[in-house]
Amino acid sequence: MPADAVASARAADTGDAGAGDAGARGWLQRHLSKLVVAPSFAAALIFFYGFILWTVIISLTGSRMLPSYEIVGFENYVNIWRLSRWETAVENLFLFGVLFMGLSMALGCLLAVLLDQRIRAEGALRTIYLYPMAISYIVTGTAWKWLLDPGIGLEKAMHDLGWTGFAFNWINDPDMAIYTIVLAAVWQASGFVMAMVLAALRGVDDEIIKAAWLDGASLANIYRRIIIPTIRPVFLSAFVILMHLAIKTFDLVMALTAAGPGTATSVPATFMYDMAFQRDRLDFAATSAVMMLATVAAIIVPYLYSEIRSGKRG
Amino acid sequence: MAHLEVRNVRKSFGDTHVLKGISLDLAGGEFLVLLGPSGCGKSTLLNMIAGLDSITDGEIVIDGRVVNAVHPKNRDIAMVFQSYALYPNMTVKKNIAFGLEMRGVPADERARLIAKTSALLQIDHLLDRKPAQLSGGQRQRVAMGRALVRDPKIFLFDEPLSNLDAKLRVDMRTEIKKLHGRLGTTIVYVTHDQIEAMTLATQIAVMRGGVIEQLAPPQDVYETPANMYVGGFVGSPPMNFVPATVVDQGNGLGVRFRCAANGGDGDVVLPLADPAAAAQWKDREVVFGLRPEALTDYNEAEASIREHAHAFDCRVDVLEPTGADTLTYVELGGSTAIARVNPRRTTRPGDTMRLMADMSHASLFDPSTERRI
Repeated sequence: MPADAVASARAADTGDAGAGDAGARGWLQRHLSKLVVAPSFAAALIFFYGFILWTVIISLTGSRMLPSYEIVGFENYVNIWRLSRWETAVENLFLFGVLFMGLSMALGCLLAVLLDQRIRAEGALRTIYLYPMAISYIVTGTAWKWLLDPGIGLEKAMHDLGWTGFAFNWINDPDMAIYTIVLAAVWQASGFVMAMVLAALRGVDDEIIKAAWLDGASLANIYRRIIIPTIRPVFLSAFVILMHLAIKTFDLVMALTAAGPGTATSVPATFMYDMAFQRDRLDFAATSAVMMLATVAAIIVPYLYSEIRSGKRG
Repeated sequence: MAHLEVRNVRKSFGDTHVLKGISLDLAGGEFLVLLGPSGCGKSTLLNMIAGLDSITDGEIVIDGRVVNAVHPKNRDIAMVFQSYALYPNMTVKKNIAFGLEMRGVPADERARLIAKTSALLQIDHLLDRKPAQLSGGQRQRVAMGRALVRDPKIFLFDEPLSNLDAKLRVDMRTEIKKLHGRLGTTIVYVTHDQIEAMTLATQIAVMRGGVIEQLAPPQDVYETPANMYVGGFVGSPPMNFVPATVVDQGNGLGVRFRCAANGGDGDVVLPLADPAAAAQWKDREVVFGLRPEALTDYNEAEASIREHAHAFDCRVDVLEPTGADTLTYVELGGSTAIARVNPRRTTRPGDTMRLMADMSHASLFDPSTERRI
């Protein structure tokens, strides 16, 4: 069907005699734009929404290794909470999400404010801070795994330098391993927050800040009362982007800790992968996927709605 | 009503000298306009008075106190910016109140002052709106309200009208003038618009390249420009500059220049109103400056009343009707001059017309230094 559309589009484009009589050509001209969009539209419909629907259906069945279509209702949504593994994953996600978003925002804002002081070599520094964002999570995860590995990384370097009492083995500690993921993720994302906030800070009119000086506001008051409220939409955007990154986190965990030690750093995404491809529990995998989708949707949909509405108003 | 003094102030960025020694003394209640083209340093000077720019050398004194090291907020000045610089996240009311709030004025006092200021500027109906919902003129008013409400010693205006359309600009100009009349506060106002400067100022400082070319009341700047630059910058159309020679002319001195008329090319000699001033320039080249309104159509009745009005014939090159007057382009001494002619007395381009020069309004300049003689 896509091949068809392309062929007819081409025919209409060149005014080819093969397109038939004037009536057919007129019809083509009227519907050409729709025909051109149709293939990607169909692909999106099937591969996004079709499979979302399929996943929702699977989550309502008792599928094991292979999908079955015998509906068991919402049983999976109840039973999944009996798995300690899922509980760990949700707890980890909560802990990771809060820390990751909070630290990335705080660090990003701090860097942006500092870079905004018209310092020398700003371009170079900006690139350095933003660069981690260009690296894939797999690379970040692997690099941090080496850095944090007590046998080859930071701890060994300190020992080699003579500080033999130095210990930094969070990555092997089930209670602390999740924080290493936070560390790597913050390292990756804070530069991105910085870039967004810096752009917004630069967008604030210089004269507004001068006016605030003359009005007698202190630097803290200028930031708190004027600059931050002015650039609030950027905080919202950064927040939404970080939030969905947090919920979808998978590759970073796989590369850094492989959800270990044990299952100490599993998150819903690794849980889903594990259930689908290791444990032959397609039903639980689908259930966790639907729950993640619902969480992301609960954040993104109101955001998009408010964006579109304000777009119309402006 | 604050007394502002600027003592030999300089501003340099490395080897770039933006201000090269500015001095001025402004009595309380004066309206000083800093007039000049972009890049002449007028906004820099204003920012230095405000404390937003550091001072390389010299002193700025407000009411006898050197304020070089005083933080902007403690100088008791308010500024209206070109972009209005309203806080976009606050309502009009909060915009106006912000300065008071930062200075710890109690809430009921704030409310009273806001009510007073907004009534004065007729913005009371806008108090709950955000700046984005206001028109340019309304924003301008709010920006002025924010400055007014604090009742500062000195107001600074940085090209406040340049973002408004032509009609609104004229209206706001009148309002600023009225406001100054009512409040009597010392004002320093930056603009590149010479009409704004003429209409508003009690003192104009014409600036160029980081120096003040002339500091005088508007009428003096207009009638007796200190140099050719000021004469050319102030006035629309600008002053006519005619290369001429000072010659002995019977009972006094006159200026002689070439002028085409009646199909030929001849010399015109106009007697100077004040020959004594030009005595040492006898037989030397000068630049003779005459405002377009001092060069008009010949009118016998008027010529007989005015002692220093002298007539001569000249060929007309171009006519530009403006309604009230027709700007008539003629060639005097090899350079183009403009005469303001009564539209009912114009002639056709190419024809010769009898013009009248009012020599009591003439200026003479040294051609090498361009300074007034």
